[in-house]
Amino acid sequence: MSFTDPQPSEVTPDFYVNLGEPYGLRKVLTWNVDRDLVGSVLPGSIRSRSGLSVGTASVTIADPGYARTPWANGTNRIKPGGVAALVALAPDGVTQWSMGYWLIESVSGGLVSGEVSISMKEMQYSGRQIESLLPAPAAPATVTWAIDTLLRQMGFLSTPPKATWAIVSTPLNGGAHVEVGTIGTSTLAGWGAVDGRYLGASSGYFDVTFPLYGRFAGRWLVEDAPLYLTFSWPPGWTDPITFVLSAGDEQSGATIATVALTPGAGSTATLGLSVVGVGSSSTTVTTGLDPNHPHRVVVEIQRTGSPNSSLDPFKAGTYGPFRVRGKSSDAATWGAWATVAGTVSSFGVARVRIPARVAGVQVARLYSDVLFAPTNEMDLDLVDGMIVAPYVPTTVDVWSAIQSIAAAHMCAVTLTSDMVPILRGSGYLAGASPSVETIDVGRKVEDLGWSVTTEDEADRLVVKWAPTSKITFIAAGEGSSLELWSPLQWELTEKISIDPGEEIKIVADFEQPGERQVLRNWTMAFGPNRGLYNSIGASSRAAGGAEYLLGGDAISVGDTYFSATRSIITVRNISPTRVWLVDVEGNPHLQLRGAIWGLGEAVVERGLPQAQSQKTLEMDLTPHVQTLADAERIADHFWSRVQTPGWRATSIRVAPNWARQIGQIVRLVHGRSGLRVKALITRVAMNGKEGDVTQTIDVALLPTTWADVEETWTQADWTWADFADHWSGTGKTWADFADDPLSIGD
Amino acid sequence: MIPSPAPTDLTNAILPTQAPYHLGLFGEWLHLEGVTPGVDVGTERATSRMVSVDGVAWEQRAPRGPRSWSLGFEWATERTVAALRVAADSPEDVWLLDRSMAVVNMLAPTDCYGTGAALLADGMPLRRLTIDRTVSTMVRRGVTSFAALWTDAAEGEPVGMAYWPGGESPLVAPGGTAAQRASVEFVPDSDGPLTLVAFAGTTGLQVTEDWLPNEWMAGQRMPCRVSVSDPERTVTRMPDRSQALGTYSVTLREVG
Repeated sequence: MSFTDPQPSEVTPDFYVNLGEPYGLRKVLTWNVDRDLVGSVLPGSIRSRSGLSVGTASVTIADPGYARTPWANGTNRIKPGGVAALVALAPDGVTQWSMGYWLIESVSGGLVSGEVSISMKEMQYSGRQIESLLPAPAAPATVTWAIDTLLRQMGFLSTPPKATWAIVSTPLNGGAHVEVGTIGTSTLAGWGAVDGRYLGASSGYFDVTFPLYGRFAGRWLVEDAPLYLTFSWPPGWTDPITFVLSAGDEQSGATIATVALTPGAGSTATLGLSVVGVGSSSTTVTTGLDPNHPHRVVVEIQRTGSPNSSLDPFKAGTYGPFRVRGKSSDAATWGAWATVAGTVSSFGVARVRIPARVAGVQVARLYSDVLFAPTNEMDLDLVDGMIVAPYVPTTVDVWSAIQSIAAAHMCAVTLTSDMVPILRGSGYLAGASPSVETIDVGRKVEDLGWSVTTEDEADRLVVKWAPTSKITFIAAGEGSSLELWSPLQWELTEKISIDPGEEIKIVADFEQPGERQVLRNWTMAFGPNRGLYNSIGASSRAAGGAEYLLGGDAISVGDTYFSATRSIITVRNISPTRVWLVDVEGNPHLQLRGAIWGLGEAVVERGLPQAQSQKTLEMDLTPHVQTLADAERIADHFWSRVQTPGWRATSIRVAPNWARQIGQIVRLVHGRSGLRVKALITRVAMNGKEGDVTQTIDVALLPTTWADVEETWTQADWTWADFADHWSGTGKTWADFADDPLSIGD
Repeated sequence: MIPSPAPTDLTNAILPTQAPYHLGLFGEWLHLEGVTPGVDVGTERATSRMVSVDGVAWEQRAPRGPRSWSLGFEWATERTVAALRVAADSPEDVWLLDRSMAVVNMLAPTDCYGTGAALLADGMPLRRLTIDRTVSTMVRRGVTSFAALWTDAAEGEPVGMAYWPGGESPLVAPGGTAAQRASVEFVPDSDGPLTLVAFAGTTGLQVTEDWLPNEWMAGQRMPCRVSVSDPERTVTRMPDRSQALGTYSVTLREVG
């Protein structure tokens, strides 16, 4: 028996479900696994060329007995929820085929039925965390960046994972955004495949800064509290990645010390330490010791000596030299120290300058083997389309967000049964790629039922898209006292009071995507008697708010932008009295201001004018298609495909090939009927019971592309010269191109 | 139903006049007495078939087909009827031992060979194991048993290992020009599992009771767990001033 090469006579595999403890691995009586590529923005057969991957599964197992009824006592009783793994075991008892991981939705059974039925859905619909969805990128980023960033929140990591205690974490997956920390200066990063991962590919850099002082900053860079810098770089990278300590409060402060890691051509990297005005030193790190991360080094940086006050660890005390060392796997021992003597004791800001092509940087105060945790295998194509203002409603789960973006951009995101995410663009789905399999319909298909419908035709195409405009400042005040304010992103709708010493967190969901801006304003009013208001912070006072009862330091406010549509606001009352977040009239008052994007609505049209059109196809690609270029490209792509009716074929029973996946391009051929067509698999349904495994597929038929012509001719060892001979030899010219070149050789 | 004779000593060799069926009940083996000749043993293996557009037939079959034994009792003893009744009402741990199959090969059919290149076992082509395989069956206290496999390894080379209640022994290749059989004879101290570890490259695994046939014979998966139907009684004799006499029929279906 072969999972990928069915034979005319064979023994079916056994099918098992692993329900985890306490149920364990169980043999399945009957099973069903169904994956469907469903379009959300297009009708008919063209619908299937983008969109949602929907998977369901069900199994029945033998009744595990009364001890496992829902009302039984003890830990053995069956409960819904949890994860189930499906696996088929070939009759040789050795070869396995994974059918994926699923979330258990419902379990049903009976006292005498002898069977328990378990319904499951794709595990990726597992809700969302508070810190999820799309951050605002430093510059317009690709759809691939958006998909990768969202997949990351589901645990599919293309670049180093974020350690929970990281001070700075940059996935650098093509959008130049940080998971932890704040971008200072930046240039746009592109997208490219390096080392099997996806990461920024263009030139340029960006800086991530963080303070090394402050009330809560603690003791950094002393001997018992070092910093750990983790760098990953692409193969062949030989430019230094730098970490800079600066004086003062601002990034522009004078450089005090620099740590630079320079990957070498061989199996070593040079780790240099330079202290301005004191000296420099360097050491080497043996690289490539971790098979998962051959291009990753962790650097430890510290100062010896000890401060004499824990409150002010940087400006007083006895300090020894700076020193750095590194290693390239968790198991490896640290390399030798590079030490520079000196007693620099005053610095304020640290900056990591990250070249755009570096795969990721983390700064952390703890070392852990998590820094060498493996990343996931992913297969993401760089697809056309740019995201300017990431907008994902705050109520959707991550997988739905991925699917809505993919559908709008005519892509498809699917998971293989062994949980590898795949992203394919509109070109791939339209067949501009070699087929993975040729299915001989005569031999392997039970019947090819076809239908033709006018649903797939249109004489007019209307593509609706969302132009964006970024609003950074608005005028506030009157007349000569005109002030610049940032637009309102969010405001409080409930009256909230905070007791002394209490801290509250408020989840602020925006109606429009936004981002942090230097001139943001926290505007609020508070006081024990209401009706007293205040603006807090220097920038607010500059923006007009000056009157207050309690001191400006009565509360401390912080915000964290988790995405372009969500921020978490932390308000802590550090005054001795209760504080109300209300304005002078007693209404709720707490505002978050920053840049926002306006998402408009525009259309691109093809075909007949509206008055003459008999059948208009409308595609609503808002809010994810945000540039005119993308809208025009998508309109062109589909306009060429809706002018002629296509035929479709559904529920085709085929000899089972377990490797078939939705989103694959196959070729259907049948000699007797002259069928030779390329098709996209849009649904794969498999059913099984003892002695019977059936596979049914739906396909969308694809028009001929230049890729097909090339594939046909090169597979037959023909050249373009043969192609020209074929045409001229039959007396044809290019004007006769109605002849189907693919019919040659059949 | 007739009065039961004294219990049979199952440690004896097969009595040619005795029905080969024994019921395992709560860890004890009971001889099923009075079985009528003509026992029908059926197999239900699930299959399916698809015929393609151009008439190519595709057929699938299940890895195994559970068997069922239809037993009739013309002269059932009281003890046999009681045992069947208990087995029907307490189905959790009921086993069937057909000793005529146990002397052939007690292992499950597909446990006996692998998926590798074929080895000629005394003329019978059997596919070799591609990796080490551990198989198991139940053996009985005091019954002389054999574990064997076929190999073409050099003389003296260990090719397997057998573990039984109360002992263990390696299987060693006897050597020779063609494939040879390595075997071990043993008598278990108690009822329990025999575990046979066959190394990659061997094939033709075989475990038997009483004697080891010269040739490899297909696995019979015996003893096996069964589900016993309620004994059906047909009253055939109703003499005056005496109890009525009847015949019984019962179906034993393989489970597990």
